[in-house]
This record gives sequence, C-alpha cells and structure tokens, in this order.
Amino acid sequence: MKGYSFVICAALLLMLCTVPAAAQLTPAEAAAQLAVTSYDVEPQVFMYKDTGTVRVAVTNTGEMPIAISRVKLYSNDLSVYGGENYDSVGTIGTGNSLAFTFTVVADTPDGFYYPFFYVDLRDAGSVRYRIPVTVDSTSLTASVTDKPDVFSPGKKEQITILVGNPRENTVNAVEVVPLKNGYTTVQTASFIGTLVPDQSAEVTFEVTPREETVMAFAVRYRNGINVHETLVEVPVTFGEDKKRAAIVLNNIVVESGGTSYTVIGDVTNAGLRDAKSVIVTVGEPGIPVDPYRSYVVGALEPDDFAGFEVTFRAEPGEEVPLIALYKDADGNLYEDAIMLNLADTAKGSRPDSGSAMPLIWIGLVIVAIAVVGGVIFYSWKKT
Amino acid sequence: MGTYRDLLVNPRVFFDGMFTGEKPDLKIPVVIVLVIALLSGVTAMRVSSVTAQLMPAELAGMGAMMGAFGFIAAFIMAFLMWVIWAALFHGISALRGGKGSFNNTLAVAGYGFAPQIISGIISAAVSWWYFSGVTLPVITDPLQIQEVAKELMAAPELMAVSAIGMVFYLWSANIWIFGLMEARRIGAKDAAIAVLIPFAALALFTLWQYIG
Repeated sequence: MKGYSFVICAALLLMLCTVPAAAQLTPAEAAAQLAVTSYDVEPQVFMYKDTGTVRVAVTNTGEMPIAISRVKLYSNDLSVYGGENYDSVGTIGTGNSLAFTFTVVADTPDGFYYPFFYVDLRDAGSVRYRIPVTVDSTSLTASVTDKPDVFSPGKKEQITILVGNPRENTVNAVEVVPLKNGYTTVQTASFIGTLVPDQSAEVTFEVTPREETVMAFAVRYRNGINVHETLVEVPVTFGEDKKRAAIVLNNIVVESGGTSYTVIGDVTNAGLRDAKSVIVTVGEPGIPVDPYRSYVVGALEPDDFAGFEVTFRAEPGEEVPLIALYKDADGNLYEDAIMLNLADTAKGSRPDSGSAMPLIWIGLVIVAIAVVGGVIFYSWKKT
Repeated sequence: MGTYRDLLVNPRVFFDGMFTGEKPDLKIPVVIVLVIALLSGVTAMRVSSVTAQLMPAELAGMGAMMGAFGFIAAFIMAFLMWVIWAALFHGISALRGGKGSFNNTLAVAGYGFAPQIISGIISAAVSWWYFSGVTLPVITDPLQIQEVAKELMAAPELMAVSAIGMVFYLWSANIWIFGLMEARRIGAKDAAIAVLIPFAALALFTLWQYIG
C-alpha cells in the first residue's frame, strides 16, 4: 500500500512539471506567435497623388489566443487614413487571421517607401512590419504609327495611334478619345481595356480635318481607382494629295451654230485614284443649253478616258470655263476647269477662211458693177 | 425692133417701134417673168426648208411643207412685183405727161426684168451652196428663231449676192428708162424719174434690211 501511494505522488509531481508554460508567456513569446502572412498594395505601383489601399493580414500561429489592442500603419512620407478603424481590435484565436486595410495617398515624389505596420498586443508588446510601397509617375506612351503625308480640308483620312504601357503594373480602362479640335472623326472613342506591363495596342481613327491645326487625342486610363490622361498630337498641314484623281480635258473642239456653241472633247483621269460621278459642263458667262447642258461621264479609273459633248450659249469673243466636276470615294467634290476662248471660233458653221472669203465676194461685186456700168455707159453712148 | 442682145446692151434699138401697134406682145415678158419666178421660188424653197430646221423638234418635220410654201409664195410674188413695178412706172410717168396703155408699160416692165435672170441664177446657186454646209443650232425658244435666221442671212456670202442683185437691178432700171421713153412717149429725164423713184425706194429698203 505504501509503495502504491508513492507512485501516485510521483505521477502528480510529474504532471505538475509538465504543465505547459504557455499560461505564463513572455511578451517576446507572444509576439512571435503573431505573423504577418500577407499584404496587398493597390495599385501595385502608385502614381503621384494616387489614392490606394494597403491591406495587411496577420495570423495567430500559436496555441493560445492573442489579444490585440490596436493596429496602425505609420508613414512619414505617405498619407495614411483609416487607422482609427483599428483603435480597438480584440483577440485573435489560434490559427485565425485578421486583415487590416488602410487608405494611402501617394503625395510624395517618385520613389520607394516603407510605411510600417504596427500591432499593439495587449498582454505582450507589439509587432512591427515594413510594407514596401512604390511611387512611379511614368504615364502610358502614345505615338502615331500611320497618317497621310498631307491632309486635304474636308477629306477623310486614317490615323493609327499606338498606346504602350511602360509601367511595372497593369493599368485598366485604357481608351483613346479624339478631342476634335479643328477636326471631326467617325469614331467618338476607342476602348482598349487592360494593358499589362510592356503591352501595347493600336487604334485607328478616320479623321476629317477642317483647318490646319494640331489634332489632339487623349489617352485615358485608370491606375487603381485613379484616372490619368496623356495627350498625343498630330500636326495637320494641308497640301495636294498626290494620289488623288486628276481630271484632264483635252482634244477640245468648239463649233459655232448660230447663237449656241458645241464643245466636244475627251476627259481623262490622270491621277492615281478613281474619279467618281464625273460631269462636264460650262460655267459663267456661258449658259448651258439643250441638248447637252451637262454631260455625265460617270466613274473614271486611273488612266481611263471618255468623250463628252456640251452645248451652251455665249457671246462671241468671251472666255467660257469648261468645268469637269467629280467626287472621291468619300463623296468630296472636286473641280478642274480650262478656259475656252470663243474669239477663235468661226461664227456660223462655215469654216473661217479669214479675210479671203469677203475679199472674193467684194471682188465679184466690183466686177458686177464694172460690167453693168459698162453696159449702161455703152447703151447711152449709142444714143 | 432689135434683137434680144440689144435688149441688154442697146435697149433703145430694142424698143424702137415696138409700141406702134394696138397691143404689144406680152408673151416674151411673161416668159421672162416666169423664169425669174422659178428662180426665186427655188431660192425661197431652199431658204425656207433650212429655216424650218431652226424650229423646235415638234415643228421641224414641216421642212418640206415650208419649202413648198416658200416656192409658191416667191413664184406668185414675182408676177405680183411685175405688175407693181409697171403700175408705179405708169403712174409716175403719167404725172410726167406720159401717154399710152398700161399694157405697154407692163411689157416694158417685163422686158426690163431680163438682167434679173442672170442675178437670179447667181442667187439660187449661192443659196444652195451656202445652206448646204450650214450647221444650225437647236433652238428651244421660238423667240430666238428670228434672231438666228437674221444672223444666218447676215453672212457675207449672202450679203454679196444681195449687192450683186442690186447692181443688176440698176441694169434693169436702165432698160426700163429706154422702154418707158418709147412706151409712154416721154423724154429721157421723165423716164428716168419714173424709174429711179421706185428704184431708190427699193435700194433704201434693201439697205435698211441689213443695217436695221
């Protein structure tokens, strides 16, 4: 009986020795059980004056609950908001996690910043952790990759813009908006969407310039919740489109018939693009008359030609413009003209033989006068 | 009475003794006027058919009808002018003391048209030649027809022919003077007055047509 009691006492003593010391943790020991398991900075890379969030998650890796008094995020450079939300946190159970989110404004120059995350433990010191935050104000790049050599007022042309992301983080909601300063476009905007780092995208606009100006396009995008904009400019200078259709009127013959004239000739497209709806007519002071007030040639491909005939009324000696009207594929109207000098046109349909004809007839009249005069003289002389 | 050559170059000899009988022979004067009427008709027919082409499309088909109408009108007008000229000569010479029947004056007037045959041939030939090569405009406004026709007739060729016609009328006037002297038994001066007054009126009228 006595030996059995000794065993029981020894066992109790042994149990007391093996009671975990956790009920009596030191501050260092308690802090060691609380681990910062993850953090998120959104946007990943700030731009100057961007507003974002820093989210930190902590986990109790120990076997005893840990009481947290408050949590803070401190920074001497970045502006931090929302810390008052965590002035009283509570206890975090074993194996549980808590996440703490702070609002951060990067009102600092570009650079790397390390606000520190502070956890005040009620019963055991604190935990501190540095969160890296990057501020980089590099904006998206935008460049013109295709545009015509020269523009023509009122003529539609295509412009291609390339947008690239040189940043280290992804940007969202990227779109290109034409600002329409002195020009109009078919598209009101072109949406690209997301651009990951080093990614680029092309957009094309059909623009119609109204004046010689610098066409501006705005590239708008979001870095987190922050909206940013960069401009790309395209200078516009007006000039002659070297490839456009060019109408040439030649082989012109003008015939006179009483009070009206008939002009016949050939119309040729000497340009590099099609000429649509080609019409030949005359302008003032000529007055188009029937049967051919205007002659519709139709479409002429490059190097193609067709004949025409136009009738009009004008005063002899006047200069009358012979006009060729045509359109391009966009419906823009063009006009080429040559001047007809009616002074060289013979009046009446008989070929103009110059002064030889009247002289012949004058000579015949003189001969007739001479003959008749001679006969009359002879008849009276006989008397 | 002389030969027909004398009619042209020595009318005094031609008319000498012609009007001693009761009635003069009008056959030859009628033939002369008939030839002139035919020539005038041909010229007028040519001009009328060309002028018809100036009409709007709906009337242009009347070219043949207008040509025939022109021929008939000119044919009749030739005989009418013969009578009118004779009447003028008879009336004015009567004021100058002329005596004799109207038939005599009619005969003189008819013989006096002989040179008009030559000018009629010239006029017909030139008209055919000229209008065969003319290109007429299409006119939609009828008010322009007269203007265009006037411009066509103002061609130098046609004006020259008209001038030659007047010169040959002078030749006719010379024959009429000698004829009236014999037919109306008046002096040269009176005969000249009787002929030259209507002749001058004709000349002025012709001149006014081109200048006006």
